Amino acid sequence: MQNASFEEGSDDAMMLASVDRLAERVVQPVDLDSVLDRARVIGLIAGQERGLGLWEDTDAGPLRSVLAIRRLAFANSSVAKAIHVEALARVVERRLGFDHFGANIIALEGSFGLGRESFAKLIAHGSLNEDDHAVLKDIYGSRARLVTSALSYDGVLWPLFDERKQTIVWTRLTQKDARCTRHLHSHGFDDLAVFSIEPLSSSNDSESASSVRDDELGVFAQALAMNALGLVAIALGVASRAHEKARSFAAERRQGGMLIDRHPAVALLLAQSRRAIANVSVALESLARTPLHSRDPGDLARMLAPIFTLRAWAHPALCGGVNDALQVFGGMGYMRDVGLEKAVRDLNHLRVLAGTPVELGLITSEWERLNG
Amino acid sequence: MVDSASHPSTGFGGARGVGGHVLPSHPLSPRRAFEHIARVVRPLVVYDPMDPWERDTARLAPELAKYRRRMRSFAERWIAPHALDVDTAPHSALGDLHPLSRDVLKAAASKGLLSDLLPRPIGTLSPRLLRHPLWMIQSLKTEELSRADGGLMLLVCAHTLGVAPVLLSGNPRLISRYLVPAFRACARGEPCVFAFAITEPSGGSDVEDSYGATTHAPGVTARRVKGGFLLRGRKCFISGGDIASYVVVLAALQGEGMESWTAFLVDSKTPGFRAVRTEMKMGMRASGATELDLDDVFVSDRDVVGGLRGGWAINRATLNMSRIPVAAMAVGFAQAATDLAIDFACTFQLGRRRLIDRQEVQTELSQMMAETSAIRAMVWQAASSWKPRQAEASAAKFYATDVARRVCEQAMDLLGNHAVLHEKRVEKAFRDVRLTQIFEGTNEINRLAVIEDEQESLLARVGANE
Repeated sequence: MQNASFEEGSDDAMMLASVDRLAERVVQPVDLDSVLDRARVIGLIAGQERGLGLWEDTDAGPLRSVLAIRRLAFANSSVAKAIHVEALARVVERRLGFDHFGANIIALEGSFGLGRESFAKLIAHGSLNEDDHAVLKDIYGSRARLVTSALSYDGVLWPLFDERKQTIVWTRLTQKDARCTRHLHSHGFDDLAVFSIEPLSSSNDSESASSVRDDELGVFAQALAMNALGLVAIALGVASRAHEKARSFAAERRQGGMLIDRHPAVALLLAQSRRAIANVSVALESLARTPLHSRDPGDLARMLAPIFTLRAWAHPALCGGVNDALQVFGGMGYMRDVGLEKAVRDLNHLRVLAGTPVELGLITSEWERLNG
Repeated sequence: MVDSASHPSTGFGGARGVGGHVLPSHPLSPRRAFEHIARVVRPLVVYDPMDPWERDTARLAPELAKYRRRMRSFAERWIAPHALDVDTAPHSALGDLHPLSRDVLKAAASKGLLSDLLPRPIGTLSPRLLRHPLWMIQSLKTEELSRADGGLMLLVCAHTLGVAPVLLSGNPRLISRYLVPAFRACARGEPCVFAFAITEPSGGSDVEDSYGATTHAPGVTARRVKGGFLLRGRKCFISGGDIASYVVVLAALQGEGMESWTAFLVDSKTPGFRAVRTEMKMGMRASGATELDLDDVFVSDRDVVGGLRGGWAINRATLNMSRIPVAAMAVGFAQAATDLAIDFACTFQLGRRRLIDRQEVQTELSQMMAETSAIRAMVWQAASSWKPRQAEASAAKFYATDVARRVCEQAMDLLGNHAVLHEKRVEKAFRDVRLTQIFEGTNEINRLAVIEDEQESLLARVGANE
């Protein structure tokens, strides 16, 4: 993949070159554990010291992270998702001041999405009524949460709604602190697992697990921003790969006496797929150039709003694009051998994680209302 | 709309009303208000708790309504309970059926679902249903079975596609030689399945589109020998091809082009005929999409279906009939997704409210209900014609399947992150509905089929403006 975004020889360019080499290894089904090990070795997943790992570039704008995840997803969506989840957990864990690494999963999403308007008010420091409290306790309480991640589960970062302070506090659940149930045959990400994780105790203040930072809500918002950008980047990588496959197929397959890419019906499918990728790519890269500071409390909604808006339209657009790519293949597209049907499932899966387009729309609309 | 959260009299707060709406007992409810309307116009207004499915069923002729109820009952008794297990079972070996699938197929046979293309005593169709087009009856069946499960539906209903060419041949000897004993076997609970082999590895669309067919090099050919023909070549993606007792195979006569396409009825036990593989599919996994290899398979002259060089006509006529039930499958998947979303919204609690109490959930559900009703109306209208036009059948097929996919996506969005769970079934409805946009001609081919069918009226307009 071409790298026009960074100067040749720069740290950013070198890291992306490493990602390309890693991605080359994972085009085919892989041993996820060994790929994750390798990602830790090359520093893609953050270590104890600051480096060039994913999501360590938020101060300057996480463009490098976003491009790296997109490249990984181009090769293998599950690898990209697994590395993204663990990298995000490590970075957030360090920012929260935990003294050692104990979590490789982060449960940013509550029991059912993010919490709609109540979540919006929480982030924007709006006034929370009793209904909001009930929703936020429900979403960010001890109710079971769904997580899509690699099979190996060490520990999970668990944001909780603190009703008294009307904010988010973080805890860390190890395997012994939580009941973990694996759901089989989930929609997408065949190489990963969907877990239902539920704390064994409803206590929020386990000494060993509590965070030491004051601005935990800020870290929460920042983590949500990184996660949202990461999910769009994965979707973009998957869609780009699907489009490339469809374009190649259309240049070889004949119908009606000519190659099918000469048929306007097919050309338009490819154009729609390309348009979705191009639009999302421009918007994503633009947003990823903006620093994701843990800002003043009032700025959290302003930081998240454009990112959530992007997700709300980007995922449906890319789902449409990948469906168009599948359609180019006709009957073959429906068969597992070709890989397009998996791309469709993976993109559907991403669309409903961490806020559906409907929920994200409600949240951004509420922020707009609150900000006048 | 009144905000229920700030208007307790509307019945907010749990088991009473749906959030944001006055209770049916409220004086401002249409139900109460209509009680006071003038007696003479009272028959024109209605507000009752009747289930939407029952309302639709009540609009049908009594015999169709009875048939629809029977199909729902069969689907709920035999198909829905096995849908998830069969979907996740390991890929079956060629010709093998999952034990649960075998049970479903046997039940379908013994209860007349494999033989309801002809009236009693040959088939199992009630004589009263003869007042209605066959594709209307089949549409009711495919919708109800699809709602329960796409794979098992296809296992049962692909057989209809195999039988249709034999019926369309109008050849009573073929019908008595093959369909009568097959239907009798079915009545004994011994499924005798037919399949229709159109698609070839070198072309799916070319064999379903006249313009494409003009340049298509046929992949299966029939060589004349004494007393019949030898068929050679490959067919692919043939639904039910691995378990079929008989397969209607379309093949070109040796040395000729697509104009010579002829339908041959092949006994699957004939030497040289074999199923090579079944595909691993995104959905509808209970039914095998089969690749068939024909290596000099002998077919007798008497088993030519619809006459020599009559295959293209048989093919197109079959598609005109079958595309309407395919559209009905999409309606079934959309209905399944809508029903699952409604169940979720009515039972999932977020904070102090059920999801159904939230306005955005209500508008999403309304949209899904409306879209599903709209495509059902389109299908029923297309199916009510005794002469199914290509334009109407193709339009119903591509429009209903496109809309149904959207409905399934909307249902997934409504369930949010829970939608990815297999046990919630919504993701399965999406995987199943995705095939309906592809088979029986891709939706792009079906769009062009509408224009092909309207060609002469379009040319008349061209002429009028020149």
